[in-house]
Amino acid sequence: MSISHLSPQPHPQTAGRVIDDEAVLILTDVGEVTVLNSVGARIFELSDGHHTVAQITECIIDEFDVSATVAEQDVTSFVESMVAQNVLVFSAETAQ
Amino acid sequence: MSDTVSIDIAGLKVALHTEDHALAQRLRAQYAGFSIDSAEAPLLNITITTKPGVQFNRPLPGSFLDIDIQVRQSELTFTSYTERGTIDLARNCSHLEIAPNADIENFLRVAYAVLCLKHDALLLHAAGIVRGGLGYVFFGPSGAGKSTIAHLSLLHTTVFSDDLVLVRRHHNGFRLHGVPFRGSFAIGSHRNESVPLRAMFRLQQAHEHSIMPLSPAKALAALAAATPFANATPQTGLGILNIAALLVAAVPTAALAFRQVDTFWSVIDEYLASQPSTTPADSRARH
Repeated sequence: MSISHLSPQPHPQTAGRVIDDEAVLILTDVGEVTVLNSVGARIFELSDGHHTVAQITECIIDEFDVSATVAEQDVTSFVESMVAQNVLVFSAETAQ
Repeated sequence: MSDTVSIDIAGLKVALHTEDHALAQRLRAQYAGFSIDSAEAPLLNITITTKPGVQFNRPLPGSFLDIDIQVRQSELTFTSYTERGTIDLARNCSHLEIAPNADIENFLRVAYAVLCLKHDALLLHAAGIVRGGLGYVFFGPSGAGKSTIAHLSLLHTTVFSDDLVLVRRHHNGFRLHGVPFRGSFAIGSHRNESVPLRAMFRLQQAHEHSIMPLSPAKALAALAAATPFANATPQTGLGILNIAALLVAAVPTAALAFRQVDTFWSVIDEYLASQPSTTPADSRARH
């Protein structure tokens, strides 16, 4: 199932902060701290519950040196992985 | 009639109230270096009640310590084998029940960790060392070498602690503060003093000394991992990240790989000589 129309946002149990193009995440429910690289940090930053995955992909294509095909695959895969790890959730409005 | 023991760690004043006068005497002795005559407008009032015969949490098999911490809205609840307490973060009041002769130190650590977040400070699992009037913090997971660094430095420096230190932002920069808390095998002077914070190092034992810069995000992540109770709630986590961001922006933070000889200090000196100094002149202070 495509997730391109869904809008991810931070999971309520995640604390995150973007600093100098990277992001630090504290996953409070598993007690882990992790760092995202610049692309991951930008996707996390854009995951505000308003941008859809498709819109986030467009931003990544505009801001990084990456083809549309690769960006679409990578953003989708990254968001799915973050959702599986309870770092992101899809906004209820778009997930319905 | 209630007895009050007031303590001041890094300028963060807490009043301990109890009707158990033997406990009050014990607390005065335990925190002698950090006690003050009276705390006007303490940041936290902790009312302690001694309850004979209580056992709150059964310790896990093989463990001598089992602490459960929950945070819901503005109230933190703490339960251990011999202590059960709450901290109302909004009202700055706290209640603690303990078994007779129980040590309140674990609860007090949690209370201070929470207070720190409201006052631009972090309580860190770290060794804190004073050298040349400046503070150095060495942090990392268990086994990274905090105690080793402290032992290697005992001869020519002042070791505040090999286990737990407090760093706090003041008007002229971050300072390293001694704390009275002791780990199970902790060494250190546990002085009630503070010095300007010169640098922080994430530790890793190795065959040769080397220092590698950390990106701000990696420094933040390492500091968050070294902060007790960072994972209690997203709010506490965000508070820690925000203070740690100020800290790494102000104080050189790097990864130090070291072997077990005290020559690592010359590597640190060489590294810091290439870094801009962010600390004011030597100004050791007692709080």
